[in-house]
Amino acid sequence: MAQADQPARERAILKFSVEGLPAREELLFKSYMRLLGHATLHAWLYSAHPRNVRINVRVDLRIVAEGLDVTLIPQAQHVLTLGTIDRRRDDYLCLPVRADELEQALNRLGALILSSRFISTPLRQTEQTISGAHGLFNSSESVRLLRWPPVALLGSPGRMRLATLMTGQPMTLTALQQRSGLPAQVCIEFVNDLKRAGFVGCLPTTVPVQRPIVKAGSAPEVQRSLLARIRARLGLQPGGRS
Amino acid sequence: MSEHKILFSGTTGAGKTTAISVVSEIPPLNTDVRNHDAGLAKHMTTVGLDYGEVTLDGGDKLRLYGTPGQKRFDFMWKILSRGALGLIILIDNRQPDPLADLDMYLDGFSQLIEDTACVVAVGRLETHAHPDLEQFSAHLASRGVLCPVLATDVRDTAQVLQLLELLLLQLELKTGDESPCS
Repeated sequence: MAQADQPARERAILKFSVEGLPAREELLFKSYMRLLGHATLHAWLYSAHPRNVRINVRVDLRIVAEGLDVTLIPQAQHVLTLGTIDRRRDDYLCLPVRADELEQALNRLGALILSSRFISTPLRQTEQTISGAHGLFNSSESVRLLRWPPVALLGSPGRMRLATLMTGQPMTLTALQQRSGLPAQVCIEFVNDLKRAGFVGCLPTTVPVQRPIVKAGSAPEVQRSLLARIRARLGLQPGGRS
Repeated sequence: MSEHKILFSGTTGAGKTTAISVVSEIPPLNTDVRNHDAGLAKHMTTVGLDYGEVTLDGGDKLRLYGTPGQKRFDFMWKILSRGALGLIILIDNRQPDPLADLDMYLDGFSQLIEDTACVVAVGRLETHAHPDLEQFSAHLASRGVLCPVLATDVRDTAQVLQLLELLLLQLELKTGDESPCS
């Protein structure tokens, strides 16, 4: 019932392969992936991989047994290593795999994979691609968070700032960029990740928003000055927009 | 010279005193006494409030108040809320029901949260993973509160500064000409 009220989620489909695990472990691992399929932020699709790791197969995430020579992997791909030592790395899980750890890792890596796709694409092409083909970023929209996003989507202080800025009124990409001081591409990637995961609401920016007239010495101006002084005193970077 | 204040509230033992001490330019004043409450696993507890301060350019003072954590001191929460710039809620995830703790502060500071800004910082997630941040976010959403929720170790100055940074960002959004659509 609660889900009926949720906005429809359009999950990105990502492909994974499993390499170098004993047959039983591989079977078990794929079972885990199916079980978690309903919970992860992205839809994970298994893609069988040839025994020869030199063969280039296009998957988004290669899940490999520790000891497999990943330098043989012929392209810059994301790898999640499974092993028996607790190495506490983002790209490593200790066997036996725990469902919650696997879910977190998949969400984190999924966000990374999607981000890297956009980073490797020129900005204009990225905007065209994601607004045209997938209906994601649209520069004429204002966006607002529907709820605070999961850790997997907040991988950096910049993303934390962007999410915080989106807790207020709906904001255009331009405003978001100005306020955060972050490159447009970073803002676009973040908004798209949020959109895919169903964490933002969008409004068309067709009606101009009335700006309150601020007179010198008025309360908002005093408040802004105060906040700027607090930032300066605490050694925090200035707000993105003055 | 004007005075401004930011509040730190939250569960007993969540680290309000510590959070203030890493930012304050004066040794924080507190009213810790020996704890006789068997339900609290700490030697000392704050029965009044913590106080620290930061001097701003121009001589203004930013006062940092740590409210007493226990519900029986909630009459002080409203007094301290008057004129506060915002609120940082610290949750100790070792407690039996951290989400209920969060509810207590959301209720106790509802007006302040609505009028200003709020950040929720969850401590001890590394040893007490449940509820996780996702559950805190969902819970806040169910209460109609949209604010940053993050894991925090208040012994780390950078992490306390991050809490303040996110609070300031929200406050800046609320000031006059910050039109959302440009």
